[in-house]
Parts: sequence; C-alpha cells; structure tokens
Amino acid sequence: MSTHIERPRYQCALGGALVTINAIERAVAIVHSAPGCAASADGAATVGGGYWGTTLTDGRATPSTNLIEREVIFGGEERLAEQIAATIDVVDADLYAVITGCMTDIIGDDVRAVVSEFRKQGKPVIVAETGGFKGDSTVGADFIWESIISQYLSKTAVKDPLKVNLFGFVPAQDVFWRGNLLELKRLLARLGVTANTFLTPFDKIEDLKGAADASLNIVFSDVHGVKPAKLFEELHGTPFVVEPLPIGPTAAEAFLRRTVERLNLPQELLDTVLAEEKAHYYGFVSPFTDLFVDQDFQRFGVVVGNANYSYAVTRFIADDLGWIPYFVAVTDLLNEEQQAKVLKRFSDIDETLRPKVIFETDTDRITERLKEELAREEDPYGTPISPAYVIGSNLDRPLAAEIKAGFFGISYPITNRIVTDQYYVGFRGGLRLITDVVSALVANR
Amino acid sequence: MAINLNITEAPTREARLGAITGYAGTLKELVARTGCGGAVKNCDRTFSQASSCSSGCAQTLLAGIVDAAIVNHAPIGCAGDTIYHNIANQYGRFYRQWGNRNIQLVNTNMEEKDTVFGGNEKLREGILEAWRRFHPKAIFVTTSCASGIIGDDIRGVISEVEEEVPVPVIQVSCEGFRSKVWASGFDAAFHAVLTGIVKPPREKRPELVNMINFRGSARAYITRLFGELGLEPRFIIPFATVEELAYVSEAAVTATVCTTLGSYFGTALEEQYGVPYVKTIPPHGFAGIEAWLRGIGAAVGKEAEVERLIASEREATEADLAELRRRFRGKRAVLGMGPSYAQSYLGVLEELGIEVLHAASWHYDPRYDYGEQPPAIVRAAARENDVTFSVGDQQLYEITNTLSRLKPDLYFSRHPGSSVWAAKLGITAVPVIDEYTAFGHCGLVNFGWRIVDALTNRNFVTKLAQRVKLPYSDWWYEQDPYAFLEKEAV
Repeated sequence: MSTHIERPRYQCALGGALVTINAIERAVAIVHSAPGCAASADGAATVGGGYWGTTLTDGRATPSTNLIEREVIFGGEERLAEQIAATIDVVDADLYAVITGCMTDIIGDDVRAVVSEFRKQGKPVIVAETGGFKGDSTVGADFIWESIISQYLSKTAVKDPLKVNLFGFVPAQDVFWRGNLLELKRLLARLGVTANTFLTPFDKIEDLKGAADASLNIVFSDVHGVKPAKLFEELHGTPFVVEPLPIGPTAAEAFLRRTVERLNLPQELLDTVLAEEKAHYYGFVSPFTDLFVDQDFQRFGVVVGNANYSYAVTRFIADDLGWIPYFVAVTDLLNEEQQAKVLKRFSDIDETLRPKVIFETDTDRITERLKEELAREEDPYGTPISPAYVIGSNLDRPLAAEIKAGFFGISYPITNRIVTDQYYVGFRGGLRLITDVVSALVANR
Repeated sequence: MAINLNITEAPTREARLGAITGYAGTLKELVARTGCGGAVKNCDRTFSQASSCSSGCAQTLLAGIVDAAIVNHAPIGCAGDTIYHNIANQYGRFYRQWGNRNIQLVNTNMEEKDTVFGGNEKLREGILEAWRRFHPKAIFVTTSCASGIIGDDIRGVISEVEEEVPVPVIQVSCEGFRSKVWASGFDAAFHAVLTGIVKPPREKRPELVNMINFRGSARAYITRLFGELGLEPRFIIPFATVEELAYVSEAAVTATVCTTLGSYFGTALEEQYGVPYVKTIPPHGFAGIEAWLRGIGAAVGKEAEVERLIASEREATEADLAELRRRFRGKRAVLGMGPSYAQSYLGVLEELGIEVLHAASWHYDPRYDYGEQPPAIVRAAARENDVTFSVGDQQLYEITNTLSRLKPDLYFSRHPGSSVWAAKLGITAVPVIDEYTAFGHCGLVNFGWRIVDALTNRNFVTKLAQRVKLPYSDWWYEQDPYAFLEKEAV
C-alpha cells in the first residue's frame, strides 16, 4: 500500500501537466480546479526547479476556473465553457490545454464534452484529466503528452529519416531539462540529425504540431514518457527507443554510437564528433587532475534522485569520475514493473561498483535506510564510507551533514542556486558536473 | 458577533465578515457603502486566473512552529508548496543561527482509491508516523479539497489516536474550495491554535506583547522600541514554540503587523482572555507606527513613554523623509497587495509623496471580527482625493491591463508572482515581501531609499520589456480591465 510521504519531491499529476504546458512556447493551460491548485503546483515547480520563473501566461497568471463549494454541488461545466471561451479571447496562444484537479475529477464534470464543443469549432483546445490524486508530476506529464499526441499532432504518412523527437523530460522534475535538451540537440545536430525538443524557450509550436514526421522517438527515461511514446507509435507509426540520460563521456559515447547505428549515419562523422567532444572534456579535466589527485577527492557516492538521474549520476561517478557508488535512493513513485526496469538498468554497472539501490521517496526514511546499511558493516575506524559525498536534492542536505559528507544538489527540489542554461548531459555536461561537485568541496576555502 | 471557539472549523471570511474578491469602483465609494455594517455584493468573474488557497496560508504559519508537526491529509500536490515553506523556514533558522533543518510535515498521499474508499486509515497512520518520527509537542491535521469532498471523518480519527499520541492533535479546516479568500487559511490556523494549544493564563505578564507576524525580520528593531517602553515582544506564530503559544493568554496586549493576518487571533484573545488587541492602523510609515504605538501604550498604561519614544524616532528621521519627498515629486504608482497592506500603503506612499493612481486589493473585509471597518481604509478614504480601487484575488490580467493604461513609474506589490508582470512591461517594480518593509519611522525612510535605488537604474526592466511580449491579446488591452467582472445589480 502506498503510504504517507514527508515533504514530497514532486507535484501532483495536475502539476506535471501544468509545467509541461508552461514549458511549451505559445501553449497555455486552463486549470479547471479549486483556487489554489494552479498557483501551488506552479509555485512548487518554479521555485523548486532552481527558480525557473514564469514564461507565458503561467505562474499566478495561469487561467483557472477557481471552483468553490457552489460548483462542488452544482458542477463546474458551465463555468469551464465560459472560461475556455474567455481564455481564447484574452490570451494570445496557439494551444489551449484544459487540465483538471482533484475536485473536478471527484465531482465528475464531463470536461471532454465541454472541450469537444470548442474543438468542433476548430479551436486548438485539448483536454487531459489530471486529478492530483492520480499520481505525481511524472504521471501528469504522461497524461498531457498523451492528449497532445492524440488531440493536437497532425497526421502524416511521410517520415523524415534524419528527424527525431526527444521525450522523457518533465520540466522542473528534471531541473536542468532546458539545458539538457539543448545540449542533446546540439550533439545530434553534429551527426546531421534534427532533434525536436519541444520544451525549451527556442522551440516552435509548429514543430510540435508536425512532430509525427520524425522517424524515431528517443525517450530518455526507463519509466517516464514511455506510455506516450507507445501511443505515438500506435497513432502515428513512429517507433521509439529508451535511452538512459547520457551524463559524461562514457555514457554519451555509448548513446551516440547506438544512435548512429539506429539511424544508419556515417561512421566517419561519428568518429570526428567523438574525438572533438572528448578532446574538449579532457582538455579541461587533464589540468583539473592536479587538484583532484593531490587533495584525494575520491569519494563514496550516495545518490538520491528520480529514476532518470539516480542511474545516470551513479553511472557517471562510477565510469568517469572514479568514485565508489555506495547507496542510491530512487525517489519517484514507481510501480513494480517500473522498479524492475530501473533495477535492470543498475545491473549494467560493473558488480564491484554496483551500489545498494532502494526505492524510497520519503526523506527521513532514506536516511534511516542508509544508516541501516551502514550499521550492517563493521568498521573499527568509524564509518565504512568515509569520505562520502551526497548528490541529491536540497532536502538531502541534513542527510549529508549527518554523515559528514560533501553535498551537491542535482535533483528536484533545488532552491539554493539559480538554474538557467546549465546542463549535465553529454561530454560537456559531465565536465560541468565534475566542476560543480568538486567546487562544493573547495567552496569554504 | 463573538468568535466561537467551541466549533472545529473557523467559518470562512465570506461567511463571517462578508469578505469579497470582486469589486471595481473607487476607494471612497467602497468605504461609504461598507460603513455602518453595510455590505457590497461580491462580483464573480467569467474569466479568472490562478488564485491561492487556504491550505497554503494555514500551512505557512503552522509549519513555522518549531516543535509542532503537520499531517497534511491530501493528495501529494497539496504539499508540493511545502518547498517554499521550507525555504522560509531555512532562511529563518539561518538568521536565528539555529542550524539547518527541514520543516516537519507528512502528507498522507491520498490516491484515487482513497477518494472511493475513504482516507481515514491513511490519516490515522499519518498521525502515528508524525508522532513516531518527530515527537512534536502538537500535531496539526490540515485538510484538503479531496478529504473534504469525500467526507473523511477527521475528528473521529483524531479521537481514535488520542491514547497513542500523548500531545494535542488538532484539526485545521483549510479545504481550498471553501473560500476564495486565501486569508481564511490564516483564520483556520489561528483557530486550531486557539482551540488546541492556548491555555488559560497561569499569571499575567504585564511586560509581554504578543506580536503577530510572518517571518519576524524586524525583531531587533521591535525589541529596542518595546524595550524603551519596558515591554517585551513575543513573535508569533512562526518560529515560536508550542509552549510559548500555549501562554499567549498571559500577555498584556496583542499587536499585529498585518491586520488581515492578526485580527482573528487578536480579537479571540481579547474576548476569551481579556488580552487587549490593538485595533489601530498597521505600523507602516510615520502615521502607522505612531497610531500603533499609542494603541499599545493605551493598553498598558504607558502613554507618556510612547509620546517620548515617538518624538525621538520622528526627530531622527524627519530630515530624510523631507529629502525623499523632494526626490519623489511627480512620481506615480499603482499598488496591488493584500487588504491590510493595500490600505496601509496608501498612507505610506502619501507620506513619501508618491501619487497612487490605482490600488488593487487581493480581497476586502468590510469589517473585522470585532465589528468595525478596517481602520486603514477608513483613514485612506478620508483624504481629499479619491482613487480607483479594485478587489480581485490577484487577477493579473486586470492588473496588467491597468498598468499598461496608466503607465506608472512604479508598481508596488505584495504576494509573490505579481511584480514580475510589471517588470516585463518595463515598469519598475518594488515588491513588499518582507512584512516589516516601511515599518516604523526608520523603516519608512529605508523603504524610501530603496525606491530611490530602484528608480536610479531602470535598465534591467527597460531592456527586458523591449524583448518580452506579454501573453495577452491586443483585443484584451483595448477592453475595460473589469470586462469579465460581473456587474453589480444596484
């Protein structure tokens, strides 16, 4: 049975749908729910997401029906119709997405019927039922993507062999989604591939509308975005592959090699790209070695993050940084099948470097579980993982302090720094991660 | 009507005070119509934007009590905003040098099946877990739309766990759908403290002042002012302990920095325990602090000391104020704030010599629980010049339309998420996020210099506005800002 959660590390389903729409240029959400839902979800995502902030009509300006007791009794459908019509007049956008909260899903408003009236008139309105009790942000992101794919995308029979769509990113849950997507786009462009990223400030909504002509969908998650990718394949015939988030030179090279094979791209071009990207990485890592080795900066790694990051970061510290992964907490709410997929991914890590992996979302219980793990090992010198380093979220700072470990935040929520175009994927992202993680060790000098 | 502490739920502000979130007209008209127990009908909107809910307001106060815990009986999203309650908590702890610690809150993670079969069992477990995990001195159970609509028996569950949990477990009714006035959540939190924590006085403490506030940044300043009167502030309720809250009944007087925040608690303490509540205008600006200190002085019999204090504070700052007024000549502003601040800052900006072109108030209470109109709006309306005045639960499309018409030099706002839209229009925005901004004589002068700084370099917003297009259609800018506000049948 699901249980209570201390200070959740995500928003609800409504929140995940909301921030996805907010990240799409010229798309606007119409929240059909109680007065506080939109602001609470958006506020949590934009503050916890490294102070992301507002883009179009989001934040406190999100159109919202603000239903109260009256509508609980009499229903909110009329109010919704009125709100949609007004939003189309007031807000200059190309896509209007109606998303619902707990209250409307419980009282059972027929939102699909209301929206279909607007669709019949040719208005670009879509709908997803995203009642908060249905799950966390990642579930809501899947819901809204399914609605976009089935209700908004144009049908096309023609596929572009050099075009791919990138999925699996939930804005703010991946605090670095914009930078990560842009870096993946840059890397793929070097191989002659056009990648649609949809969720950066530089994407055009026409690319979303026309996304069905891509020949491949790449989902950068074992668990998030997979359901929409399946629906995409079913409705538009574009197959998908699942890739781990490629952080650092080892993972990035493997990703590019697989992509070249899948899309039948020229091998020589790949060799050139790999050589240049690695030269960049080692051009900076080489002189950094003085500090790294002299100061004895090898660490035991404790990684706390969602399914995408916990594996990708662990892989990077094992493969490239040369640390010893000790303990990993995967913090999203996953079902058994999803957990199995994530665990399988960890089994790719060499056995000697494979950490203990737990699925736990509750901050204090993560600490308890780590302590249990430590207590199992006898160590006459104190702790078996000294010196340790925690790569987690802002909520895990007390954990790091408790085990006297270094700390750097890479998972939601991040509230102690500003995130703009930073990224951790690819070769350059790996370099950035080394820079940030080790900077934290010298920050008090 | 007296506050009823024998019921579990504080009635909403709409029900208790006739509070409204929809009005457009002028200040004088609103005050005239709501004087002597009069009321205005709330006008609904056919287009609205995100508001806030009682749950956030209740939890931001309660999560700040240092040794209490919250069980939020809700789907996970309702606890998503604890991210920023935690920021406030960590900032506050940092400045008090208390060490880093997270707020103590668990969410019961209500899921789809719980909305069908009920969430009582999850709530019971949540309370027991909060007790096991934090060993708090009190546990507040905050409710949500989901728990409210399906009708979970919160009281029943609380009485079941009484034997296992040896501290007060208190229901906080803050379902978002019950009220459009998010400040109803403050009342819900205070009601829970009043009914579950506050005890009768063991003794009277003639030096003690209950100081109702949010984050308490002006602690040193207030401690100095009160010290000169032989008084001692106790800042509540964030960063207070359960024990301190239990004996607020012993204080000599209750004062508040924000009358929207403090009037329920202050009135209840006066009615229940005879602790006088200072009912003056809030302590912002010269007029505000002077009226407020005199209110405190009258309650504790220190009128003469207060006059001496006012004279010395005034003398130390008068020259600065004159200089500021000279600099602000011809400057025009729009303000958008919660009611207490919107009303209070009409006075503050007048003292600084800044002309207010329009004031927007996030809601309006025609009267407070002690039966009178808010004194600050009465004072503001007594001025010679009237000003257009709107009431809306932070409806930013109305504000944006208004700003683009009036093109003020400055936009003053309180509540996150509002000033950004003025900035994107190229208007210098000065947010009043710290509740002690413009507090007292020194605070007013500091605020004035802050505005001078903002006007000295406007490059950030000027250049931003050239690059950013706001989301509204051209059509909208041509409409009356209140085109979607239903007309009141007069």
